[in-house]
Amino acid sequence: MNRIAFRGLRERKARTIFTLLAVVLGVALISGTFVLTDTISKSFDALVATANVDVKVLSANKGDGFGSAPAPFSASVEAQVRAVDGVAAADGAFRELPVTVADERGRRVGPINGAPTLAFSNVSRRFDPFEYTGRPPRENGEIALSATAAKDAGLKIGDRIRVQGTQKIRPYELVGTTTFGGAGSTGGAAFVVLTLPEVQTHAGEPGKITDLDVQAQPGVAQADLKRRIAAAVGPSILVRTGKEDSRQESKDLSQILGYLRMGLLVFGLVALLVGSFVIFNTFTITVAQRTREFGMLRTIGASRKQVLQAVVQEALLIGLAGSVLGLLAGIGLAPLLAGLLGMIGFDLPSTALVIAARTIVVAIVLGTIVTLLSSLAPALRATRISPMAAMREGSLGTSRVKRRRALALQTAVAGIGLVLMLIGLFAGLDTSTALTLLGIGAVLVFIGAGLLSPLLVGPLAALIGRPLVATGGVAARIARGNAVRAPGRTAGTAAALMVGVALVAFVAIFVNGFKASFSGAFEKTVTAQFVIFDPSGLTPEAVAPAAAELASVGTAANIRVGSAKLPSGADVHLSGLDPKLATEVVRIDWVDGSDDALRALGPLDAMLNADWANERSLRVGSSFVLRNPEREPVRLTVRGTYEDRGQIFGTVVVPDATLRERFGAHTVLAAFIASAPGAGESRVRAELSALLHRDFPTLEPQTRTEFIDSQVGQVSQILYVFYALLALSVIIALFGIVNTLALSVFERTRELGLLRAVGATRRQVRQIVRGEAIITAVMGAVLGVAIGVLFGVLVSRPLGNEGFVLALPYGTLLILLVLGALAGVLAAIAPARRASRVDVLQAVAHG
Amino acid sequence: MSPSPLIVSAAHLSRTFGEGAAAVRALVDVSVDFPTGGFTAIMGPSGSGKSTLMHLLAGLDRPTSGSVAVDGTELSGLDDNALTRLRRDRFGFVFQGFNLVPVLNAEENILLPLTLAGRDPDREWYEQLVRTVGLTDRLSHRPSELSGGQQQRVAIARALVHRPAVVFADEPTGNLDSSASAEVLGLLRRAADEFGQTIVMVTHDAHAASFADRLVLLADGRIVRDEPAGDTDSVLELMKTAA
Repeated sequence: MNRIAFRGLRERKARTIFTLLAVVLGVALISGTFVLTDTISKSFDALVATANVDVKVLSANKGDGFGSAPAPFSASVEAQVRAVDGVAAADGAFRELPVTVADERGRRVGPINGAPTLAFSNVSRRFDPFEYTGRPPRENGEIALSATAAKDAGLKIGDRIRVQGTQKIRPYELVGTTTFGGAGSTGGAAFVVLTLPEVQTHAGEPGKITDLDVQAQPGVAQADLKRRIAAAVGPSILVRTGKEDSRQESKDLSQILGYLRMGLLVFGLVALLVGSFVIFNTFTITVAQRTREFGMLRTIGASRKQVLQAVVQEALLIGLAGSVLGLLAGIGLAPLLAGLLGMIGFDLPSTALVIAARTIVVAIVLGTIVTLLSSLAPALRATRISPMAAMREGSLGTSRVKRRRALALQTAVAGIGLVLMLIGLFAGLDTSTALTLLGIGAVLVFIGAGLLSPLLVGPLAALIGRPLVATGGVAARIARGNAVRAPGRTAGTAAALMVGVALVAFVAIFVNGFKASFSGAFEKTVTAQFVIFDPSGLTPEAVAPAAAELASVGTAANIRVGSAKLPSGADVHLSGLDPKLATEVVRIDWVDGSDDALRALGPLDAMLNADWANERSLRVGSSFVLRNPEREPVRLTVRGTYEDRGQIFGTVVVPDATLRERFGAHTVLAAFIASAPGAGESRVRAELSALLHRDFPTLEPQTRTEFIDSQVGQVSQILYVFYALLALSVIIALFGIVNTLALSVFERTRELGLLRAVGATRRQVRQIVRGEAIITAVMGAVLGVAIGVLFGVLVSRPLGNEGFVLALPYGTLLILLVLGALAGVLAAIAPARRASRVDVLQAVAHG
Repeated sequence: MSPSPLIVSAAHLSRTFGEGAAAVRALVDVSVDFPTGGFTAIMGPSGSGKSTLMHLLAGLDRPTSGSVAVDGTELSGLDDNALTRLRRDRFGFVFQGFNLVPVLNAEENILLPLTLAGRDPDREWYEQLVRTVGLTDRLSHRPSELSGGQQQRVAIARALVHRPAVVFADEPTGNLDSSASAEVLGLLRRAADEFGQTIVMVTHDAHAASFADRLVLLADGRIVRDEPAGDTDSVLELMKTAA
């Protein structure tokens, strides 16, 4: 049986290759993901360890992750720490302040795609994490910049660049370029090093620092020193040993990495799912084609088990070979994936790829098992081939009872899938359980739909065939008939495409809804004519006051952002509005409140998101406590509640000044500009542009519409990345179609020869094959779109409460259908040509 | 253990396909015995039930009523696995077409029943068989590299390699030209004469039937004649009476 399996595969090379590809691509994506994330993890590990820091002193309320402002504390802590017994050296620093950097002409320096530029204050050499070409800054007018950013912008030592934080832009001379852990950029971010006073100015926090590096005297243990320092500085400051600090950093990084890995793995699993459809199909067809061979083997005494072995061994060989090839391909794919991520701003240093044992094992086991499972049903069917099949050409008609039972089972599978999805969506479970249920449910729905789809072949083929028949004549009619004649086969092939299309459709629907919700909410909420907004999310707070002085500007107001914690420890997002000016530029959807109430807001008053307020039983007049980043309590009184579909205002709205002074927030979401009465749009734009060019050169004024479009455009970028990842699955499905067609053509050699013998031209034969391919592909696309819409509708229900609007992108969906047809045409090219070249005589005599 | 004088014995076999109004009675109350070492041709027009009879005798199908015994063993008591083993060890098969596994060469095809059983061939017997069918130079060739007649010769060698109790041949010359047919029939004849092989051949070809010792003629699911086979002409005459 081994011989039969092995040689069979060698003989039918083309078919074997296509089936192999189905496994290879899925495994490649999965192993590529592991290699990529392992490599990233290792390169980050190198970065996190800092040798000389025995104790680290931080604010207790560290900003949440990359790109948001840190919470600073008073620099007087440095003197306190220096006085502690056992401290050899202590340096205060202001680190990770998000800034914007521009060259002399005003062109942005640094990452373009959302990754931040972070400012660090210089520290003594022993604590300095950077390596320099040139030197670190010593004077206030000097700056060092990460090597990659400098290179990309064509900057050399001696050039002048400007930096903007929360205040006006300031000029510096470039005295050095930096690398971090040997890399010129890390995760896409760029770094600048300035003197401490400069960074403090940019942060709008004079006299503050974000952390303190401490080196112990020889013989003093890290833990001891930590205790002593903690006693000296008090509870509002966090003290960690160097080891603890490294570990925490790694933990944070590995969490982000974990999400990335999971995200990519999902696409890999989708590719494998599609691949399994293709394998199932291929084996079903070849088992059917080898009915007589299997029948003959059974007749001369091969047991059912031996027939099963023959098929399963083929699957095993394909699974193993495909997995190994997939593993190798995945290793090559990792750099490509990195490039794809680079598109959304996540660059990676190119270190040696990490190929863990786990990656190898998972790749091989997963690929082999998926292949085996997919081939199981056809293999079992092979065992049921009667020995008499060797002698008769009879078809194995299934009895009516069996068909009804099968139908019930198939519907049950789809039904269970739907139920699981519904539970995941509505049962209020924690995110990871809900997502897992959703995933499993979706897979079951796909399998169920795949199983039920043969029933739909008749009506769908009739529908899809109509335009074909209208243009194609008799060839198209034969094609349609062929598709209907073997509904199982047509549906099976279509099902593979269905999965890919359904996911593409779902993503398109989801993102479109997201865009619609966002733009809808924004349209309603923002009444300002112009928005000034930095794409990295850090608009300087100084823009609005500057713009307010322009003649053509009526009102210029910031929406500031900040965060605090509840006494319970939960995070709360805050927005700061200028009570007097806000109503000129935004329209708030009051539930229990009014514009007047907003204008009357006192320094310790707040407006609350209505849902959040209800959850905490807070009403107008109640008061509550928030802890600011320095862990001080701030008591606020509720003066109104609002509804915020567009998530623009966060949970709690306080006066702008309060957010700045009591909560230390210097980050502004955007500056909103309302024109003065009578001022034309072009005049306002001209004045704003002149102002920005002078003092905030990296910013441009945008009209409300332009702003919405650019936000929406950013979301589209992510959409394209998703499409790229899903494209792999679609490619597998296409190969599946080519495969099935080729097998089908081979199987029907006699029939095709007969057609040619009675007068069909080569062109007509090609049309027949093409027609079948188109019907199959469009069927897959139709089913896919239907399921995608179903998923979209399902997911939109619970999200509806968050303001998600279901907006079907009809254009995109239509394009998907057209692409489906085109895919059919593409897939049919080679098989159709083969079919048209069938040697008439040989075919008719072929017994 | 010497084979019993009646190697295959069928009693009151009936086989009906389908149910109700669409029922087809392929065989009706057929009883026939086959002595060891005989070459029997089962003949009849299309729809006479001859293929059905062979399927039942070979344990490939189960009768609606009646019984079949092979070398003393009653087939109706056997499950699928036991029937499979019976076919593997005690029967040989030659079909009209598609006898061979396309990816195996001639030698591997011939040895297939033994390979399936996990047994080693009797080398002497194997070589003699290969000489007899005249395929000594073709052993490494695939079926696609052999002519129709050569393929059937491989099939015959396969059918004989494990020294079965009975060889069942279903229209073995149906796809062959006259010279290849003559070769194949001659081989079957030699197997019966030299090796004492019991052969049951289903055919509609009078010339092929003339090679057999005995002729069983079926019509409409019943046996209408059972007598020694003569030459081609007498067989033709016999067929006319049955039509």
